[in-house]
Amino acid sequence: MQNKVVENMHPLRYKDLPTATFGELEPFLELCRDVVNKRTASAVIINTVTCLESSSLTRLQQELQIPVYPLGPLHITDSSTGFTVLQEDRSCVEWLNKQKPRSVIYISLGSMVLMETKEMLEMAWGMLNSNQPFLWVIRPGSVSGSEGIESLPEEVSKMVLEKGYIVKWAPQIEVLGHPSVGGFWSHCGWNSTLESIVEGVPMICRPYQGEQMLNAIYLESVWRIGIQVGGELERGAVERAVKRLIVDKEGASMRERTLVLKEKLKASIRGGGSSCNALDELVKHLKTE
Amino acid sequence: MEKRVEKRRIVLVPLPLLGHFTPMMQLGQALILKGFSIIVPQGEFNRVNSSQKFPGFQFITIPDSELEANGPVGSLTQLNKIMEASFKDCIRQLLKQQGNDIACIIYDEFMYFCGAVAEELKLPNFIFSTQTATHKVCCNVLSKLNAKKYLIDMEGIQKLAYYPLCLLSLCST
Repeated sequence: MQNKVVENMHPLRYKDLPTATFGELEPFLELCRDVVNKRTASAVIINTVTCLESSSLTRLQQELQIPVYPLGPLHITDSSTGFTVLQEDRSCVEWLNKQKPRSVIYISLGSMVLMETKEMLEMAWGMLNSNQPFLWVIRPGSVSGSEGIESLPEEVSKMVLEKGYIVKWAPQIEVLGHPSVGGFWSHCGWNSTLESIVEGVPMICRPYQGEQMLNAIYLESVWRIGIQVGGELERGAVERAVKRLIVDKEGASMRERTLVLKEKLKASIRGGGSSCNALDELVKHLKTE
Repeated sequence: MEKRVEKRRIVLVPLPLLGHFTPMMQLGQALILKGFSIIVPQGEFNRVNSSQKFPGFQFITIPDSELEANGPVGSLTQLNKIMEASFKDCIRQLLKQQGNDIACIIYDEFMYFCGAVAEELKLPNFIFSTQTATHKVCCNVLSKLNAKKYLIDMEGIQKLAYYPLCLLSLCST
């Protein structure tokens, strides 16, 4: 059963299904039942793109028996919006301007993931050993019991500040679109994933929760534009992943595939594209309600 | 025949977490460009604190209470219980004040209490998912599983972490 592929959901196996580590399974399954209960809903609007997940979308539509409108990526539907809720540190763009093209690893684990001090130390050593420059987002409070990199030994944090650049929060879309950025070390939240693809940046996947783990599986095995780093984080694994992505040929082909997807996503929101059509159909539907 | 009056106002209900709030606001913006106006009810405690102004959006604060830290699954369940009654009052008020011109409610799939309220008040409603279709299909598979049998089948598999550890942070926002 564990290794059985979920019907029509290749490559997902039953053991990949996102379940809860905390507490009992039953309350979690109850939550799933509440979340999938459509009640009287007229349709489902979803921030994804047909070309990324056409078989899942087909299956979803069949199971729900109501229209599904995949109209993503919403962050480029109206490019003038540029919502920013957290304070962004734009000084990192100046720093990126001084780096070589496609050399920088941008590291951000989103707005919620918490990191252990030990994991942070392995991350720092791995990045330093890879000899690539890196832009690292460390939110205050995201490392247990620490405001930032001061929990690292002094000699390490000194080297980190020489080779890398640290901010509390970055203007992510601008960073991903910068010519110096060669890869995105990410927790694989869906917004980050879409943003990375739209800017044509391949990823190093370090998911922390179920939904992110599904995204990481797709990034690595379906779209083949990401490298997963699983298990306990260890400096050698960090260094290898960075080299595979930035230095090796493998990374170059991942970048090519990301650029192909980038164009597909951009085409989807233009007139006649799948997401553009989905939005128009949704608006028509809203007006008849 | 009476001419049908177009309903232009949409109520958006985001899950108060940044990764969910942001795409919901982007959807709202896309709908504003299509000629709709947007109302966003938010809890007093459970909300995304934003310094940014969202032009064209009308935010309404509704009463709720702080969540007790009881894990991500517990927090979500509790959030849905806390919000339901005050959300229902809020929608009733809106319907009274504005002469019944609400086109629909669009809610984050994790704010499922809205589905119950919309059903009761007979309002059109749409579910918004900020995650993948694959994830939604997986939830559907999981919702049909028998917990006991699944645990036996999955014995020895390291359980994956699920809903945001940091949903706990809901308690402090």
